[in-house]
Amino acid sequence: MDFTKVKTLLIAVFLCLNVFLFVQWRVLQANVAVYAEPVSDQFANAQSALANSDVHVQAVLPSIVQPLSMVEVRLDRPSFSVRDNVPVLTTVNDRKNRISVVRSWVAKHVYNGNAYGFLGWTVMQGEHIAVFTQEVNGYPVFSAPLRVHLKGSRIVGYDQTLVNVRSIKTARPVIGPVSALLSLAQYLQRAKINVPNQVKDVRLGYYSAIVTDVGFYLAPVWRIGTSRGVFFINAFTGEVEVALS
Amino acid sequence: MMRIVPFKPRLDHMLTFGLVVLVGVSLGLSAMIWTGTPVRLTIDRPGFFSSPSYGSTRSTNGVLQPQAIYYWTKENQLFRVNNNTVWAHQIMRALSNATVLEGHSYDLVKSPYTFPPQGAYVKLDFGSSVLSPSALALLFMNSPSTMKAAIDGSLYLTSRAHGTSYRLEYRTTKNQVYVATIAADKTLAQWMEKPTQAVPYAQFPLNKALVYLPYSEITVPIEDWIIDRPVSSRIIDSFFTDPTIMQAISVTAHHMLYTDGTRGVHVIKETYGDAITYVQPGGLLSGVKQHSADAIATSVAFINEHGGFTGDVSLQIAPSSIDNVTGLAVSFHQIVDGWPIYGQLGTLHVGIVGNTVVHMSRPLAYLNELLDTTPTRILSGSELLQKLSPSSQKAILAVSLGYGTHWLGTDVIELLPVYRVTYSNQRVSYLDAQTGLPFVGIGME
Repeated sequence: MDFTKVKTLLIAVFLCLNVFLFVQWRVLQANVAVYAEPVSDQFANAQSALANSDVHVQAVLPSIVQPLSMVEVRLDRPSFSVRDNVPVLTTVNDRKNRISVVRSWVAKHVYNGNAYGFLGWTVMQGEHIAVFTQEVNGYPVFSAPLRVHLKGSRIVGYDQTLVNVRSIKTARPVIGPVSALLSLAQYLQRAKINVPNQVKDVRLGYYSAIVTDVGFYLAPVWRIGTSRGVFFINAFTGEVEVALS
Repeated sequence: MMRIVPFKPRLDHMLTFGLVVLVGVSLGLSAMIWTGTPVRLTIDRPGFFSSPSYGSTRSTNGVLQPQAIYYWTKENQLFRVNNNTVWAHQIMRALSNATVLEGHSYDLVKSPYTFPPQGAYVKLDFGSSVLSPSALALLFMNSPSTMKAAIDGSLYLTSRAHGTSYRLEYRTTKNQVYVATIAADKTLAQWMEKPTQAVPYAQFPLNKALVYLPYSEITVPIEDWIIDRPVSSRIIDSFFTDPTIMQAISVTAHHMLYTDGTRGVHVIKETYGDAITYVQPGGLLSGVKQHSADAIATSVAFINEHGGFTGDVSLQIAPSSIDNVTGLAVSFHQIVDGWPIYGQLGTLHVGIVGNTVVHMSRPLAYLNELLDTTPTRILSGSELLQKLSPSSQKAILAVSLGYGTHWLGTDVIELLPVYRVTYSNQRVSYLDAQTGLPFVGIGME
């Protein structure tokens, strides 16, 4: 048997096979590329879908998203308010460094104050309110807020909710911020909500409005703050919830 | 001196090397294609509730039916007709092919039309539902967008003297009378005559309400039903997009909560079986208005997807929904032989905010098989009112006849005729329709 001829023949066959497989691989790459859009394209699509419901995005989206878990918690103690009996009255004169003054006041005078991170400012009935949220694993727990009320330049009271972590379930992949915006767009379309609105803030954290005295589970959520209200998007399922005002 | 290597062995080695490389490349390409090809995933949801033997699906129009229809004759006689009779079906079918023309609102006192109308009329009684223009539009083929909301779920139809036009009248949420002309074909005229299967009724003008009650003692059967109690675990999964992330919390020995953090399903063990309450807490965006027609469609679709409807039902939209701020509350009452079942066992509540179902409560147990029936004489309207003190009578807002539920043990429920009395402070009491004594049934406290 002339092995040289056999090898030459096999080389020809494998050459043809490889050309065929290469073409198939390129076609596959082209098809898959349709689904694996660049993030910028996905964001543009989400913006366009939201614009159909008259919602415009004016927020910077987080870029890195890690797997998260359901977290079992229990209220540390019932939520409570301190008004007219604030431990130490503080005057916040320095408007530029207002938040750092409030933050150090919280760390000093609020029970477990170091567990809270700053979320943002709101205004209600003439009072400026610094909103903090408890942090678990570096993520804010939107169900456990601390609201510090300022009248003029004085801290006049605060409302606090604190939870204790009892267990953390197995981590699972979560949807990205763009997918959360797309879920919101689909929700608005399905609910026939078409009112002018702006997305101001998008951030990942934990939340649940389903609370019992014996404990409850926080789900990873995307909190989408808009000019008309706050949406929570379940980061596992993409389900949308309008925050209770 | 250079050694001369023969050419053939060198060629052989090169061919072997080339062949090995090519085989490697083909294997590599095959692996890349294998791993890079998208796979069609089929998500299996074991235990997903889809048993058609439990409930059946309904259409939106199918549930928006009056709880009863009243017929007032020229001779000033009043009759009540069950909503499951041929006559009632034909009236509703004729209306679904009719067109409501542009109407006008009048002040109750200054209206050129008397209200309620004089002479023969048909009154469609949708309980105490608030019917918005969009909900009213579901009843007719065409209706003007300028229609006003009806406050008490009572629509009056009268025949005009000539032609095939009719007059529609009802009290609006602004305490006016809305009057419009209905253009319908001749079939409506045919069914606007006195029905044959009707119960004589009488109007009783009270301090705060005009109530419709049986004119004399009537016969209503006491019915014993075997109930079926489906296992709750079969339906819980259907409420979650991804049941694998669902977590269970034992709240009490009789109360379990299943949640994925966004949605929750409470399962509470009652004497008659499990009752479930679904919650998806949610608010309403500022500036967003709700439409009751959308709410009805949303709630019907939701129930269809989560166990379906058991038995005949009639719909009621809560009067408190009038402000459209806190969302819409829609209830479905099971009807047996034309009479509603009061209490937990016969009622299914749905709460809607922003066109999303945020709450649903229903018993899983349902009436499955009629075991026994005993015809019983019940008190007439005048006999019932005589048993109420004058001060109670003054505070009455509404009185209606239906069934109360009495647990006979094991798997049998007895349906007993009861009068449901609603007072001006929103208190509701049930009275045994045979004796006039207070009645407490399942979930009727």
